Amino acid sequence: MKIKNISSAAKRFWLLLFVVVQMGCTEFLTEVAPSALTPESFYTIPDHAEAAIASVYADLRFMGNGAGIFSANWQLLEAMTGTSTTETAQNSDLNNLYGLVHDGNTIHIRNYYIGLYRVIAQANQVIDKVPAITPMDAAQKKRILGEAQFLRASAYFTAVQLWGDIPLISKPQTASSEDFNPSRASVESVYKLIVDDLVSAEAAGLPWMDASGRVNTAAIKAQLAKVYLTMAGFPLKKGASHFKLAADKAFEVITYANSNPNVINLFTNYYDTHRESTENRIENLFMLQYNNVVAGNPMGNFFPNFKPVTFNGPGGTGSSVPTLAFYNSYEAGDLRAKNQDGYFYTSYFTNGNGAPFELGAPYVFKHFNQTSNGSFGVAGTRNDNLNVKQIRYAEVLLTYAEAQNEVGGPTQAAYDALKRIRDRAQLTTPALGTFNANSFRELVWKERWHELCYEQITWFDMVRLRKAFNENTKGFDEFVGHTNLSSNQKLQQKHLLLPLPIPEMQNNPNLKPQNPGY
Amino acid sequence: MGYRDDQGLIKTTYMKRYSGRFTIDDQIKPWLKVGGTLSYNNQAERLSDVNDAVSRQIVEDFPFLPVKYEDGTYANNRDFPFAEGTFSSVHRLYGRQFILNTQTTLGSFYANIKLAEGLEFRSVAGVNIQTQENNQSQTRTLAIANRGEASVSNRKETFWSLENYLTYNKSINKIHNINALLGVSWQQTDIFGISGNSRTFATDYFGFNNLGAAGVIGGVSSDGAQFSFNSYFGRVNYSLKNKYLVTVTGRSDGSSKFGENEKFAFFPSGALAWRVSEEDFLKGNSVISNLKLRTSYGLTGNSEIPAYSSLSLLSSNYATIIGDARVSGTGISRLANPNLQWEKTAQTDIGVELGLFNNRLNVELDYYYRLTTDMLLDAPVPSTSGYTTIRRNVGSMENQGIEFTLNATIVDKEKFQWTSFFNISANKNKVLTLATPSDIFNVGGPNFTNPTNIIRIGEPVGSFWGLTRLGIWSEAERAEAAKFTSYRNGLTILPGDIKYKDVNGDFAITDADRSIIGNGNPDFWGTLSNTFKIGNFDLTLDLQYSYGNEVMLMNLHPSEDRQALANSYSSVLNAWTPTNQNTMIAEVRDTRAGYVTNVDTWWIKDGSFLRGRNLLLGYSFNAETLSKLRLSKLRVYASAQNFFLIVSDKIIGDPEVTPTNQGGGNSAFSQGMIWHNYPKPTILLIGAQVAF
Repeated sequence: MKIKNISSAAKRFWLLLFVVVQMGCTEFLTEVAPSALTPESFYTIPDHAEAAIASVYADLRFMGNGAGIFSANWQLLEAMTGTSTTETAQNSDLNNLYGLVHDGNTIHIRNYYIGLYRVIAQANQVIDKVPAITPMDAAQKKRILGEAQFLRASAYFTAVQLWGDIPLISKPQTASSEDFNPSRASVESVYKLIVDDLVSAEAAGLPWMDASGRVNTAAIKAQLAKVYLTMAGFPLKKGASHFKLAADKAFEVITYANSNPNVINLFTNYYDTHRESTENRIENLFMLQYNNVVAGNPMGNFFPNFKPVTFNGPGGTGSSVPTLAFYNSYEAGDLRAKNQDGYFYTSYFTNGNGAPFELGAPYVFKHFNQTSNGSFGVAGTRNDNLNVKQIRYAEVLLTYAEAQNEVGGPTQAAYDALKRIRDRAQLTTPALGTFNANSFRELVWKERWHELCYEQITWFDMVRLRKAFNENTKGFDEFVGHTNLSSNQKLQQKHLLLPLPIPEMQNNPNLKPQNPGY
Repeated sequence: MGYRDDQGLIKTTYMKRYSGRFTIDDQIKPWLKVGGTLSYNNQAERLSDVNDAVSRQIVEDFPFLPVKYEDGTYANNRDFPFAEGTFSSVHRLYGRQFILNTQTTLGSFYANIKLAEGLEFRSVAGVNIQTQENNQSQTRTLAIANRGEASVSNRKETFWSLENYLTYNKSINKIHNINALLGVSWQQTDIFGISGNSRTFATDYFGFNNLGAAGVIGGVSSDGAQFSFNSYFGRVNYSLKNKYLVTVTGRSDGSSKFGENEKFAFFPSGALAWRVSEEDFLKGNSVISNLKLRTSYGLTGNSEIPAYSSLSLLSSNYATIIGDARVSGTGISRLANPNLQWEKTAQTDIGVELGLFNNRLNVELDYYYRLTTDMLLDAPVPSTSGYTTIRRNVGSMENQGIEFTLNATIVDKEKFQWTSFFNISANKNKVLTLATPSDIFNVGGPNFTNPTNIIRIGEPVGSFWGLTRLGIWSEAERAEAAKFTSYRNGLTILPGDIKYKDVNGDFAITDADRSIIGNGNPDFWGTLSNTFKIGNFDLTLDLQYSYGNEVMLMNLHPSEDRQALANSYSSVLNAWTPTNQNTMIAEVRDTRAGYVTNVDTWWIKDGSFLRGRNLLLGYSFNAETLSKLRLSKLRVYASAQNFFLIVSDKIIGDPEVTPTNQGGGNSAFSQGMIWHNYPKPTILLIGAQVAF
């Protein structure tokens, strides 16, 4: 009896063992992620190309991401210019940028480096994978590649101006890629890729303007003009040949605008430069797209420190506010300095639409969205959908005026371009004949400072010109030795380049040497 | 069956739970035994401290504002001109809901088959199904920008396991005892989550109960994941004459989370013990009643990483805006690492057990050394690749420590007994290697001012990181202070400003001046517990202590360093003034005049403590009374839990807090971080134990 029991038990056991071993030996430990794709399973149909380019656009928003308490990454490009200061000292990284004692650990510098290379990597993915998608409409393919090339070139353009020699990565990366631990490539070679990309993008058949906010031909030409202008200056010093290239390229946009004034033009008033309904149109050649369906406008650090200028009450940080010296440097009668009519405000309405109150200081108005924050008697929509300006037609005019003047002195067309900027500001401009190349040059520079301030452009002008605007003399100082009135600190030679982020150097032994002085 | 209904220490918070459990065991045949358990647990919680909002705001609410104005609306700090725009704690408590509803079903079933004398086969199948709802809402007056917000999410985790093993027991002549085990197991976990949110409501009435009533239907999301384990294991225990004990184990563990060819790893261990007291020369010794020496060495594995960590993945959760509409994108997200493998820990133990005087005094002493290698970390990579990290086996870390316990029956009389328990533990942790020389930040947290914690080679993980506060600049140092590059928004550094140590002497306060300023690990910790029985009374006094652990008091950022924006700690009454220059607290100024706040040594406090964990007094009725009441046992008792706490400085509050992970850090590395935690209650309890 006992023996029989055991044998039947043994039978059951072997059966059971058979079942469980069957389960074990096949693909029990194989992984397939249900909520994420792999590169091998993607990039096969045209819709994948559209999704891929969308990720490049999405990563452009890194500039608005946080950089510690009361700060965003974009403040990197404002804090060092001396045109703005802070009303709060809570963010020590930002304080160090204002004080020009930033180093390779400063969070804004690290975030910008990571953010730019992230955009480049997403664009590399598009540029590498999309050509192989078949079947795909040739025009659509060309358009998407053109967009990716513009975005990659723009990211490299920012990076090369900030750090000088930088790693040049143009292919998707894996941990075993040859250039996974890249060394620094020369400024010259980086500009070659930038120009190649932009020239190629120019031929991608994109429309002149695109109200949906995509890359367009006007933006590409304007960017290429600015790249040439920068190459003409420091550090490459290409001089006349590139001033000419810059002037010609800018003039292509101006020519188109002159014959299509309803497509590209200056806005007639400054309100239109920071208004939801005029986005991606007329003067706004290219913008970073913001909308609360994905992400709201990231320029909130321009609000005054805990003063109730929006529906949200006392919510602002005031960590980027104009210096009084810069505000006072506008010519008398300059409309751009007029409260709420120009680029500044010195009073507003309590909680956006209530009783007017004096702010006691000037604040930046050119990123202020009255539609969402409220205006006199009109409650705000509370959704700050305002885009962030990247390239305005005003800049194209000034790029042309500057470059053309360097080619052979002030011409009528250069003068006209400059005068349009000053006319809108309700300033009178002396006759063309009163200028020589030098006086014209300085007036254009001054307009660049006053027209393009707080749009993350001024710092790059300072670096390529090696000049800084002196708010007191209204002239231009040499970069080295100029005192930033925001902190009373002097710009030094080393400040022409940012330090490479120290963690990046520690993570990549080939990334060396550090920029001088850091 | 159980039911529990707790009201929280903070208004509106609660925890309600009911549970049931069912067990069955049946000897169906002499050779077959089957059984199982099934339990169900339903828990509903409302939390207030999902982030710092309420517990922080309790400190920062202006005391001169009422809770509500006469018109019934809440009074908030933001109503006060130029204060920080916050809402009051009571407003937040009543205006925000954060509900966690968790259902857990646990079941297991086993069959035990006796194959031969001493040889058994056991098969256990188990399931654990947990669903968790997280429902949230905020009123129109709190979520101002959106005019009310609500979200719901649901997460379901389904776990099953199947374990089969043979056991063999054999005793030969009572000299050799063998106990062996051989088995195989499979486990799998499936996770699926969905969530949705919406905003802009015409009314607060719905809370989260009608997302469709909102003006803006917000995001929806879902995600799934699965991971599996497969193990083969065996163990042999052998004892000779019950004096010499040997254990050898080996297991081969496989996890789906690792690289294609690295799923399995082998983890052996061995242990030796010698019962010295069983030897002839000690047997019957009147002093030493038990003496055992033991040592062991073993390897264990860790696979606690998210699924799919070794794969190259794209993310399809990029979103951009084209034509003011959302367009989703797919881009790079994770670098592949086909070589990802198990993290391994090798532990060596040496211990001694000693019983004296018929085991009235028991002592145990253990030393261990634990070396963790192939640590599973998000190792930094050059960000020129577009990625910032890769999941890799990098780094190693050691832990070594001692544990000592003492158990004594000090008095053992019929009317009076006194037993005492004492233990003390010490551990030292050190990071030995990392992937690159780069320090790792963004661990621990909250990191909202500066990085609070660091992982650095040669230091304990999660060490505190910051500046050194030397004091406050005095009038006499005015000229020296002015030499510094401003660290208060461009304004000259003045007497009354915080004076930091300028390590590199460059007259600027930068990251170069930061260093490791402490860590949250105690030098030693333990408990001391005494129980007295005097007649029918019993008294227990249970004390807990910790020594040498530092805390980082992040609360000092808003409540001491940052002044005149909200209510502060009363310690600011000792702020710098021309007549009170010898202080560590900066002069009180308007925020726009530039106060400075940095993680620094002033925030590091000695977190050593002595806690009265429990004081319990009981009375057991004697047999006569019991027989009258027809009971077999009746004991009444009263206890006070957490009845006192001694710390070095009362501003610390309770140093023993659950680390917060606010600010994106990982709470595993933020031991000793204090940032407005939910308070720990003192519990007074009276009760009765009755048996029939």
